[in-house]
Amino acid sequence: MNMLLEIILWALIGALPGFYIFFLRGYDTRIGIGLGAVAGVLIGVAGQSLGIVASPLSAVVIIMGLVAIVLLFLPAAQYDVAPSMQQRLFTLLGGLLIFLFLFVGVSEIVFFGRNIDSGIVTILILIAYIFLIPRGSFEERQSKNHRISNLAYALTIPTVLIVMGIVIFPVIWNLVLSLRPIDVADLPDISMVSFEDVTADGRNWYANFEAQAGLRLDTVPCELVEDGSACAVDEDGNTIYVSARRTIEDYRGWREWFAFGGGEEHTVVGVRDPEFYPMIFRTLGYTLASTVSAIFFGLVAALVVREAFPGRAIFRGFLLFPYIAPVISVAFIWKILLRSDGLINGLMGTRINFLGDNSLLPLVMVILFQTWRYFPFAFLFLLARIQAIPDDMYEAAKVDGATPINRLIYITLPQLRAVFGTLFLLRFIWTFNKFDDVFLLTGAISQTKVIPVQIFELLFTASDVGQASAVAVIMAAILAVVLIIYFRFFLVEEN
Amino acid sequence: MAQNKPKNSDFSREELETRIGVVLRWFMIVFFFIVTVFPFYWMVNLSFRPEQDIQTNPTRLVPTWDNIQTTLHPIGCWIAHGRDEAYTEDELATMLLDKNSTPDIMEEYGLTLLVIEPEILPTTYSVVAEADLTDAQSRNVIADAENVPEGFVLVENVPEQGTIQYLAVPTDLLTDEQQAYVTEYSRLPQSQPRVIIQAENAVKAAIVELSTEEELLERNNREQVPAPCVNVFNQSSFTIVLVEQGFPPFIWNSLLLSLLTVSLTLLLAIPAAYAITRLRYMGRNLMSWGILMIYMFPAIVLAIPLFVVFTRTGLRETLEGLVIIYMSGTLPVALYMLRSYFMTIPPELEEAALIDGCTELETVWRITIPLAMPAIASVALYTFMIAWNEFLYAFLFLAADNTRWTLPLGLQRLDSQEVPVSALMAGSLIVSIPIIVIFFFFERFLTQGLTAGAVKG
Repeated sequence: MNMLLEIILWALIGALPGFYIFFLRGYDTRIGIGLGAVAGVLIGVAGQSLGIVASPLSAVVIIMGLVAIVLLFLPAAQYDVAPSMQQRLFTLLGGLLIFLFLFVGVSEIVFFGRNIDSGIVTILILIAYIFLIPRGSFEERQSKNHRISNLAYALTIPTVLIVMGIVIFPVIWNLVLSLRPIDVADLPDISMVSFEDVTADGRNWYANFEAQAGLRLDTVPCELVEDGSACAVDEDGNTIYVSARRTIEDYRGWREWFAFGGGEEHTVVGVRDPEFYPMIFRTLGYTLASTVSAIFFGLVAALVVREAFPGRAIFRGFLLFPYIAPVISVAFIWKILLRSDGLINGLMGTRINFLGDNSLLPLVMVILFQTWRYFPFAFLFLLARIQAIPDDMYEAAKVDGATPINRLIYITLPQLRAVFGTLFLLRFIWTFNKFDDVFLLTGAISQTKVIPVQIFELLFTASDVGQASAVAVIMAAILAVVLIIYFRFFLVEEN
Repeated sequence: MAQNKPKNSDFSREELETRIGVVLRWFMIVFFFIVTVFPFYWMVNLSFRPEQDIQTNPTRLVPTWDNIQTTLHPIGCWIAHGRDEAYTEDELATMLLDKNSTPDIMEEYGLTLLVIEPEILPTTYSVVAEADLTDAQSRNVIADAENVPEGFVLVENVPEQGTIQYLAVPTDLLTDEQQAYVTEYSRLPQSQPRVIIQAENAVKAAIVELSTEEELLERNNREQVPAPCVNVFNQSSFTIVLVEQGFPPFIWNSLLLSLLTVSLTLLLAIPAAYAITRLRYMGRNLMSWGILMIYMFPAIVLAIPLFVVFTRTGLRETLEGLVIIYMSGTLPVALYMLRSYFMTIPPELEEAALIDGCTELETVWRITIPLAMPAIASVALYTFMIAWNEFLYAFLFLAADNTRWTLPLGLQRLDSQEVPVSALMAGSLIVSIPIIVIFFFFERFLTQGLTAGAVKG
């Protein structure tokens, strides 16, 4: 598994420069990809296992160096035209660049790990060289479609790689991490995909999920107490399960569902004391409330701005302030406004602790804050659509004697339906995933603990990477379920 | 309006509706205006009022003239002098020695350097009661000493070896006795920094002795910080943030990070947007929609694996690593916005250039980019905004090393009991001002871009 992944990774690392060299020199890019992949695997996997190559980074550097050498000696795919003065100059320049490049590369190998900047410099030099070399004319003899698609790949690969590397790869790797009990302290040493550590400390492959949200099925060696629901009871009257493999600590916060069996061993099905499930409902509820109220206020604002009035342009600009200002600034402004000795309490003559009260109040404040911050987004979309509704429709309705409310209900709202759908979808997803707004406004307190904040807590307060990934996977699954329901019941209806 | 109505329906339904509509609309305009703008106004208001004033008058809407003056005065001092402590003579002498070579200064002031060697003192022993042992003595107890009474210990008194002393005295005041100790500055062991520092301190002390504050100020081309500007930085929220909390490097980091993100995003997104709008190839649709899909993934989920990988490759505490992450967020926005703009440019223009013998890349450079300048500008502004406002990744990846902090990180640190509220608000003001200014200048431009790119937030 590990080996396979490594081979794929190195093949990719090699194939990329292979593609670019052959593309720029006018050869068939498929050959370039193949050769590059083979070279990448040879250097990356074989080189490392034979001990020739010190580290992954130096392997990358060596591959890049080979690429540079190939570039220098591989003639452009043209035989009928003598090289021009400019091409000769470029080749000379290329040689100098390669010298510099290899120098930096070697120093990178020697001082590996100390200076990441030199690695970046190396890659930049290589890119500069690729752009400087003369292009062959072989490509003109290729079919036009082939050439065009090669060009398109050459132009889009960097973008796709960055986006995939930063998004798709982490999402997949998250799944692997979520099944492994890893602490932040373990990070420098763990391998990428190994499952060896899975049972190292008695936690099994589903332990992260179990600890956070799961059901537990266990066989415990103890006698049932009289009502048959528990194994043993501690001084406080709480149920404790004791098993050979797990300690009492493991069972803190767990509640039995039921136990069955007889004699000395009993199978117990436990549920974790519900702190996780309220968090999920809290997250869903707050997301739904923020989304709906942001869209509602956006609609009201759009209706107000629809018709011209003096100062409309400036007013529209002001309405967007909450959305464009840095989240940290606006969160602090509201934090100060809502303090127990802040302006709002001062005006009302009270001393309510809006953001720390032990009730639903902090969550309501978070919802209001999100509404305030994101209604301009809905406003912009709705305004654009409202202004596109033809005036004739309103004129006709007026002639028929429709009141303004009738016009709103029977003309405007149906016209906005598609925009509502898009807005709801986007805002729901983004609010569900939002971390900074909640965290900056109230901190990680239990009253407003939503899933992203819980992930943050697990990662940085508990230092438990595996657990945090497990919650992230659960979060993605919940979002997926919500989206499926949404598309199934709302979008199909529209079509 | 009313004149067109027939006289008898003085109170027609339509007119009533219009009037109610107008009242309702103006009510809503005022409501929205207050709700969106007032918090920002309050931020400005609080940042001009001292902590005590905020405590006693939480509802005062305008800072007093006095408040504004006390807040602005230290900023003036900061700009004029760069500090709020008066120069001491010692400090001025240090500056003088930093600027000039020490032998020159010694010659100018007519100083001679003397070296006084320490005398060697004998070691003594004493008997001390165990109960009276001091910490220093207990380190020098001789463990297996004989003939020591019960409850007492033998202590070795290692004399403090006097270190070599340096003195700088005016040459014309040298006494005969001192003549024996005279040495040359150039003959000091240059490889021992401690010796050099001691010698320079001696020269410094002599300079302070021989000259007045005015002379020293004049020699250094400085003016003394005037009395009204002494110890004022802690009185203004802005100087607390800018000087005492050290915001200027954070501003620089944020600016560097944002500009780097903008330029790299444009560099990669323009060719890619051209490819997905104009060139036909396999996987084009997958690419243009697949990249938008990344909006669906929460940043905090991506953060965990990235944290792991960046920790292992050493990219975690660097701005370069953060730029790559920001680009993964800005590239889809840029691609989407540019793509919708490129589609409005007639392809005939580019085709004509191709027929005239330009390559595709030349066409992009000569035709597409100049035509798409408005879209490119708004992409640049958006990308800047995203990078400037970003908090989560900066918080996770840069928190340990405060020389690399960005503005939002610096601001986050101000949220504590020790920092006054007005400073927190002044910090917030400093962080938001660039964005608000940019927005005001390019508002119409940006509003179109916002809906086109559905900028994530």
